Amino acid sequence: MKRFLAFLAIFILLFTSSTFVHALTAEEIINKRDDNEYLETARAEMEMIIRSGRREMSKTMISLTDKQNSLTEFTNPRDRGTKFLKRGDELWMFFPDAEDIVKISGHMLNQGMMGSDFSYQDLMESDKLIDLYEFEIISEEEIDGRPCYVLEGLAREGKEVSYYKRKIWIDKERFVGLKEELYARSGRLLKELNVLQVEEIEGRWYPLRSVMEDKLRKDTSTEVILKAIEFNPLIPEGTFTLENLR
Amino acid sequence: MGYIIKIAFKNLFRSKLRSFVSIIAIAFGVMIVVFARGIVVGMVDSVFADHIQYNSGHIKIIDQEYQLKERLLSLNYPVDGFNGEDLDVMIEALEGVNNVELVIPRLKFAALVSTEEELVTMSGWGVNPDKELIFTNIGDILLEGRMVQPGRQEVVMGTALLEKINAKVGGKVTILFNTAYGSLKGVTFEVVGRLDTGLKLLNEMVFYLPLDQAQRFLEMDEEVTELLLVLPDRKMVSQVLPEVKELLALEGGGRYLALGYRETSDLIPLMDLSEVIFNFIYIFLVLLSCIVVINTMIMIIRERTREIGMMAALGLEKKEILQLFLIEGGFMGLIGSLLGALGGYLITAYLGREGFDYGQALSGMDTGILLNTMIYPAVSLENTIFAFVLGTIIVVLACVFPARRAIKLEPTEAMREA
Repeated sequence: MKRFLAFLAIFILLFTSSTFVHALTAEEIINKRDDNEYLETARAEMEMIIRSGRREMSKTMISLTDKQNSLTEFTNPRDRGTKFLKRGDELWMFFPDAEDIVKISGHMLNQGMMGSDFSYQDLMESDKLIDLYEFEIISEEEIDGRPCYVLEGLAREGKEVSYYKRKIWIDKERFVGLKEELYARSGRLLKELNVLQVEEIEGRWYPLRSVMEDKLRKDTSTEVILKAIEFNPLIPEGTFTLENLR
Repeated sequence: MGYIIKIAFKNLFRSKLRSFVSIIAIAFGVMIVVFARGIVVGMVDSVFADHIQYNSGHIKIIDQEYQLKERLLSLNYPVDGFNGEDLDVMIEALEGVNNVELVIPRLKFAALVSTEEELVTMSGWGVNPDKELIFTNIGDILLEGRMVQPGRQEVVMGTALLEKINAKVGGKVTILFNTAYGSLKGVTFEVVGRLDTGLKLLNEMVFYLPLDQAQRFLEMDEEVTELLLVLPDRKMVSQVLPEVKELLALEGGGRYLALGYRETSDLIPLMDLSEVIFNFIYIFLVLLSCIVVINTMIMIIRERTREIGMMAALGLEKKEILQLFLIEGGFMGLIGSLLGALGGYLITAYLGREGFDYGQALSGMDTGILLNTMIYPAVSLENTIFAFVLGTIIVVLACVFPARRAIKLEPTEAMREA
């Protein structure tokens, strides 16, 4: 009997410990990643390098974000003064040469933002991924020597998303996304994001340089470089209002 | 011969009703020919004119790569002068080519207006307004206000487009577009004129703005998307085109393409074909009304069998009997065609002035097709004379068949028959 109990104890120990080591669920992985990458509020300075054929353009911008809203202002000479304001699921733009602010809607949201490989819609997504997609771990792979979980997410029923399916490679130790593939309902690959550099900023791993490729366009890519980021800054009230945009 | 004509003419009145019905039938046939031809020629003319004025000029010069991207209105393949020289130098060189009257620069780009309900896609044309007024009929279709002026932030657009974006002449509109460097820009313009035309492209799609403004906002200084060459006559294209091509090859290093107006239209080959087809249809139309004449002739010959026998017995030759009937038919053809041509001319002239709109039938048509929904039948003397001559000749030819029956009769048999 003693032996049996000992055996049972060992068995239970083995079993539970193995689940402890292995059994992060897909949801837990995504949540751990969101702890790193999802921004409550932030102020970021970014550079966007758009490559199209032989042409290369650089745009710089400053962006303020809280959960549902964001305000982006371009600072490079060609686009200086152009501002985007995202309020919930609305997108408004201000142009120095226009007298009115303009609401961006409909099919335009699916076009490349300022000629880049990101669509306006990509910028609009502020919900946590876990609310929009149902994730499942499909395999484990290495990217540049870093072991990753490969997760596949299908859009939850009734949720409106730009991409029906996404595949995400998440670093097993740092819980930061290293690669992402976005698919249409038909199964066609629409976009591919590769993270080139991640860094630990204020205790969280965050992508510093990443490249997005719109697979429906030929020979284009957009590199986003994070120049500076401040988590949880103080954002003055009224920042995300139409009045402030004018 | 003289007496045969006299007899033939008198015979016409022997059965007035029958002759009258034949003449009316011919008149209708010829009238329809005049009218149908008026419409076809009117349509073909307007297709040519619209295509030349609003798409191709007589000769169009674009970047080679642009040809494939033209529908997308890409700004990546502009016409920007020879070897880095100014565009003006290129324009001057082209104006120096024999028989080139005018070089028209256009800068076409895709644009958007965001209204409360929807995003309206448009096509912006940066133009030199003076040259457009000389070359196109824009002055005639400018219903309200005036044309844009260089140096001013203003636009002119079609009635349907204004309606879609809820704007009015005198009002303002904020237009969005991507610059040549991929930046999205929004600029507010004043609407200074309204166009009204059956041409869907101009009515629903295009807005004009001054070329210098378009170049400034699109960041395309000294650049356009196309140059149109205007010649004194479209028939001179084949003569001027080689010279232009030579100049482009020499100075432009093979970057640019010169296209005659026929090469840039999908509709023109169709129009050429339809003209050929319609020419056959006219003949059948007249032949159809000839059935009445043939029928009349057969009846006449039946009735006059004894008379024909008598004439033959009196020494009239077969040839002369044939002439007698042909001339009688000819008279009917002549009078009928004259009446028909006259009537056709009047109807065509009336509709040519009023025009008629078949826009309803084409409401789903693509705006890119340069087909005017207003048709103004072309009134021309040439066309009227064509129908008159066609009518007369075909009627005479149609009479050969029954008249030949008359001369086959033997005099003795013919006289016995009655």
